Amino acid sequence: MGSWEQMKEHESWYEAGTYDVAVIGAGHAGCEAAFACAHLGLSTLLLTLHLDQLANLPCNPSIGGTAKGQLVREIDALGGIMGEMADLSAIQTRMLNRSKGPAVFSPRAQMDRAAYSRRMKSRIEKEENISLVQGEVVELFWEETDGKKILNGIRTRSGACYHVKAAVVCSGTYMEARTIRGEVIVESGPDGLSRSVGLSRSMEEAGIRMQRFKTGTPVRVNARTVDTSVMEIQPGEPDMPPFSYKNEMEGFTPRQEQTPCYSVWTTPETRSVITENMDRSPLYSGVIEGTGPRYCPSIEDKFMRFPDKSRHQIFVEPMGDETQELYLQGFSTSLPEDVQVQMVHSLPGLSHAHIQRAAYAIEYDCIDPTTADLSLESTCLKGLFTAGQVNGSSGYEEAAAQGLMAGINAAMKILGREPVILDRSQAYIGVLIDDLVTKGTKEPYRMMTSRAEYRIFLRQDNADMRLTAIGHEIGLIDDARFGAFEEKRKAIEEEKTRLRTTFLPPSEKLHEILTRCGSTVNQSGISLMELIKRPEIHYADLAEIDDKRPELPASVIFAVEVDIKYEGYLALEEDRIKKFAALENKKLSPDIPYDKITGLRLEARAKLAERKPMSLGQASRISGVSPADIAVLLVYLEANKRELSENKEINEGSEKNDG
Amino acid sequence: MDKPYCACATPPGVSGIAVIRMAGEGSCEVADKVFTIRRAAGDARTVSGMSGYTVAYGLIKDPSTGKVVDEVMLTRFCAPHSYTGEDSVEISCHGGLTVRQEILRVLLENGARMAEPGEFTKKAFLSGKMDLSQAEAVMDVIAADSDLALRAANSHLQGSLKTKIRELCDDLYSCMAVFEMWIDEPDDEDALKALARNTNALSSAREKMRDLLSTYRQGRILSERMNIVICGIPNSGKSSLLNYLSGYDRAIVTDVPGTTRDTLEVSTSMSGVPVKLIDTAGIRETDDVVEAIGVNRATDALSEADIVLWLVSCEEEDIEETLMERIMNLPKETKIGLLISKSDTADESSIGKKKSMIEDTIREKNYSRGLDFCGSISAQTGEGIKEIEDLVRKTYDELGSAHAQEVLLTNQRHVDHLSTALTKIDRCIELSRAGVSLEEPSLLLRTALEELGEITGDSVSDTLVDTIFSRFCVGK
Repeated sequence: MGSWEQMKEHESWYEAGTYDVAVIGAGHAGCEAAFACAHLGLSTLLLTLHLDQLANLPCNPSIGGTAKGQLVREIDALGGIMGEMADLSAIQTRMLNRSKGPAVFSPRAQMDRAAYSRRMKSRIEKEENISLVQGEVVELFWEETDGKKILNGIRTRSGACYHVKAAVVCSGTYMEARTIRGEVIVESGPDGLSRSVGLSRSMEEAGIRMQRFKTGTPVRVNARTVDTSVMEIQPGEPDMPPFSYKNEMEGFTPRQEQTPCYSVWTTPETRSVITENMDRSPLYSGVIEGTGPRYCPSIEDKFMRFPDKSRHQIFVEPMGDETQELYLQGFSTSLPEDVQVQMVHSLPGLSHAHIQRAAYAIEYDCIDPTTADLSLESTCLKGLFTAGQVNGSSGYEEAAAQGLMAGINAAMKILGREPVILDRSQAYIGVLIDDLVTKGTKEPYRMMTSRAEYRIFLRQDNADMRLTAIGHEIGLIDDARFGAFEEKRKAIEEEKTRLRTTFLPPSEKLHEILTRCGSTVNQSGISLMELIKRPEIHYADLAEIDDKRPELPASVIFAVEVDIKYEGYLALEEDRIKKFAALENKKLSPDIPYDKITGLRLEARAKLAERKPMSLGQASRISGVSPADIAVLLVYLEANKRELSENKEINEGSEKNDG
Repeated sequence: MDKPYCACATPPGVSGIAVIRMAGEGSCEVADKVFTIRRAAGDARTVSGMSGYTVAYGLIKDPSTGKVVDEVMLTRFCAPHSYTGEDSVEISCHGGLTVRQEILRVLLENGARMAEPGEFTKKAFLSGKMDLSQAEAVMDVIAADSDLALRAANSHLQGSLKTKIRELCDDLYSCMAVFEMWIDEPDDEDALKALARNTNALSSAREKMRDLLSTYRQGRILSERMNIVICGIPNSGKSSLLNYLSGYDRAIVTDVPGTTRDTLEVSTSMSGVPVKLIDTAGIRETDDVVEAIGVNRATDALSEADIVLWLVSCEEEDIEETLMERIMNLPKETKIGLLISKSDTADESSIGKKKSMIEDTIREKNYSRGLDFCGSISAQTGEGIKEIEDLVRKTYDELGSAHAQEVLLTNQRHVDHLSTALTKIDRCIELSRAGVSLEEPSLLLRTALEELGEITGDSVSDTLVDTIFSRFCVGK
C-alpha cells in the first residue's frame, strides 16, 4: 500500500503529471500554502473537493479578533494573502480593545462570505504557478529507504496519480467527517458538502497517529423574519486600519458603509427548552465520540457547565451584502432540529425567525501534531506537511498561519534551503506551532493572547517590524514593499530621536496643555519624549506646541507612541526574551542518541528520542522533560563539542604529519 | 543578567563548621552587602577589595535589621581560577542548621539566588574546569542531585505546603484569568464583574503569600526570645514589676507619673523561657513632646508583643480608654494578662471590684477578643508573680506547638521564589489600583506566576488557559 507499484494493478489509475508540491485542500490553510509555494517559483498543484467553495467560512463570517487579528497581521507581514482578501471583503470592521492599551488592540472584520470565497478563487486562479483542480485525494505514495519513508506521489479518487516532491495536507474538518443533529447522523463535511474518505487511513498507514475531534456551528436565520429593533446594535468603525500592510501603504480606503451586528441575551425559556431536551443531546447521550473544544462550547454545554450563569449573550451577524442570512454566534448546538426551532424562537426578536440552515456538530479525523516537527513536516513521512485543522487547531486564522508556514517550509525543503521556524518570542505564529508540535493538543486548539508569553512585544501594530525582513528573506515580500517598510522603520526611529532631543522650556502654552490633560506641570524644561511617556498625554495633544513636527502616517505615529509609552515594559519583556533565547539558541541534532545518555531519566529519554526537539528550549517544553534533564543535556552538548574539537585537532595534527 | 548563586557546600546535618559557596558575576558585591570585615590580609575593607585566595575574618549581618548572624571566615576566589571558573566566595561558618539557613537567607535577600541541583559541578564542567572524561560523572551528579532535591521537595510538597502553594497559585491564576478574559473576550459581562473584584482578590492572595512566607520567619522566632510588654498608665507600677522580674533596679522608680519616658528592655529568663521584658512609658494622651515619643515607642512595642501585661492600680478611678483600645485591638495571638497592681496597698474587696469593673467595661465594648488572664500582683511582696510565670510558660508552649505546625517553608529556594513573586504582586496591585491599563499588571502577574512555577513545575500558559476555561464560559 501507498506506493507507485500499485499502478500496475489498477486499470483506471493514470499518471496525471509531475509537480513540485501538491496542496491538498483549498481552505484557508491550503490557499496560503499554495500561494507561498507558487510565489517561491514551485510548480504547485492545488486540489479541492469543491471548486466553488475555496476559502469557505463555514462557521462565523468573520476574520480577526483577539489573538486572531494579530495572526492575520503576521501572515500579511510575511507575505501571505489572508489580510488583503479580508480587507476587500469586509462589511464591518472593529478594533477590539480600543478602550484598553495599544498592546492588546485586536482588529476584527465581518466578511461577506461569498465575496471572500470568490475573490480568493479568482486570486488563486490568476497565479502563474498554481494548477487548481477539483479532486479528492485518497492516497499518498511513498518509498522507503533505510527505514525512512519519503513521499513521492498522491492519488485522487478518479485515479489521477501525481508525482510530487512534497505535499501539504490541509484537509480541514473533511476527513471521515460526519455531522450530528440529535439522533440524525450524516456522513458529510461542513455545510452539507461531501467529505474526504481514505486519506486519513493512508496517513495512518504511513505511521502518523490520528485523533478524532469535534466542533460545531450555529443556525442561520433569514433577516427578513428577524426583528433587530429589540436588539442591541453593534456598529462598526470605518476608520479601522486595514489588516494588510500592503493595503496600508497603498492608501487603502476601508469601506465606509458599515453593516451593523446585533446582540441579544438568552431567555429563561431558552434555558428550559434546552434542559427539557438534554436527553436528546448527542453530546450527553454518548453519540459524539470526538473531543470538543472548551472555548467554543455548544449552548447546551454552556448551560450545563455554568449552571449559575442564567443567561448567555448571542451575537447576530450578517453574512454578506447579497444574502439575507444571519449567523447566530454563540448559539452552536447539536440538539435535534425540532428543538433548535424552539430554541431560536425563545430569543428576543427571533420569535418568528425562519431557520435557513440548522446547527450541527461535526466530527472529523486529524493528526496528533506531536508527530510533526516545527517546520510542520511529518516525522513519520518525509515530504508530507500538514496545516490547519488537520493539525488539531481550529479557526480560519490559525489555519492560514500554519498553511503559510507549511507552504514556505515545503518550498524551502525542495529548494534546498533551511526551514523557516518562528519562535515564541517572534510571533503568535511561533506560539501556535510550538504549542501544537511540542505540547500537542487534546481538543481543537484556538489561539488566545494568554498563550503568548511575550504579548507586549507581539502586537498587531508591529507585526511588520517583527516579520517583514523575514518575509523578504524568504522571498515572499518584494523589494518595493521591503523598501517601503524600511522607510517606515526609519521614520519611526527618526521621530523617536527628534522627540528625545527636543526640549520644551516652561511656557504658558505648555502649562495650558498639561493642565488640560490633567498632568503635573513641571517647573523646568522637559523633552517631548518625557511628556509622551506620561499615560495621560498623547502625541496628538502636543501638536500645537511641537512646531517642528513632521507630517507622518498614522501607523508611524502609533508605533512611536507605543514604543515610548511601553518602554519600561518592553525592556522587561526583552530581558525575559533573552533568557528564553539562551535555551532556544542551543540547537539539538536529530541524531543525538538519547537512549544512551544515562543521566536522563527514562521518561525523558523516551520522549526526546520520539520527538527529536530542535533546540534545548523546545526540549524543555516537552511534558516529561525536567529542568535536571535539560542540565544534563547541556553538559552532554558541551562534552560533544569538546570531543569534536579534540578529534579535529588530532586529525589536523595527523594531516600535518602526513605532509 | 543572572544573579550569583549560592548553596551550602558541606553535607546537611550538624557539624563543627559548614561552608557556604557563592559563585557567579556579582558575588563580591552581594558579599559586601552582608559581610563586615574585622581583619583581612592587606587591610582590605571590602570583599571586592580583597585579593584573590586570601581569607578575611568578620561578621555576617542582616542589613535589614543590623543583627549579627554569625562570625565567619570568608575566602575570595577570582575568575577564572576558581572551582566554577567564575568569581566566587566561600564562607566558613558555624555548623548549626539555623546559622546556615540564616546566612543563606541573608545572601538571597541581598541579590543572590539558590543554586540549582548540581549547578556548581555543571558550571565547573561548562567552563572547562573538568576534562571530558568527567562528563558522564557530571551528568550523574546533576541527575542524583536533582533526584535528591526532587525527593526532598516531594516529601515536603506532599503535605500542607503543597496544599498551601496550590491554593495560592489557584488564587493567582484565577486573578490572572480575569485579566486575560478582559483582554481576550472584550464583551464578556462576567469578566467585567470579576475585574471589579480582582484587586481585592489579588490582595487576599498576597496576604496568603505573606502568611506563607512568615512561617519561615516563625520558625526562627522559636530560637529567639519571647517579647513581654508591660504597660499601663503612668504610675501604675510598671517599672517596679520590671525591676522585680529582672532582679535589679533597671528602671528608675518614683511616684511621679511619667518617669519612664522611653521603653526599657531587659533580657532574662522566666521559668526557663528566654524572654525580653519591655517596660513602656505609660500610654496616655499627652502634650509633653518627650513623653509623646515614649508613648509612640510603647505602641510600637505592643504590636510586637507575645504577651502584654496590663497593669491597673487600685488607685486609678477611670479606665484609660486610649490604652484599653490599643490593647484590646491586638491580634488574638498576643496574650493579654490584666494585673491589678500594688495589691499590698489595697484590700481584697476593692481589688475584686476593680477587676469586675474592668471586665464589665470590656464586655460592653464588644471587642473581638477577651483577656487571657486576670490577677493581681505586688512587686513589694511578690504576690501573683508565680501566676505570671505560669502564663509565660503556657504561652511559650502554645506558641511552640502552633509554630511547629505552621513552619511549612523550610526550603530556601522556595522562599527565594516566593519572595520574588511577592514583590511582583505588590507592584501589580499598586498598578491596578492606580487604574493603569491592565496589560502591564497582567505581565507582572505572569512573571510572578513564572516564579511560582519554578516551585510547582507548572507551565504558566497551560495552567492559565485551563483556569480561564474552568472559570469563564468562553466561546462564541
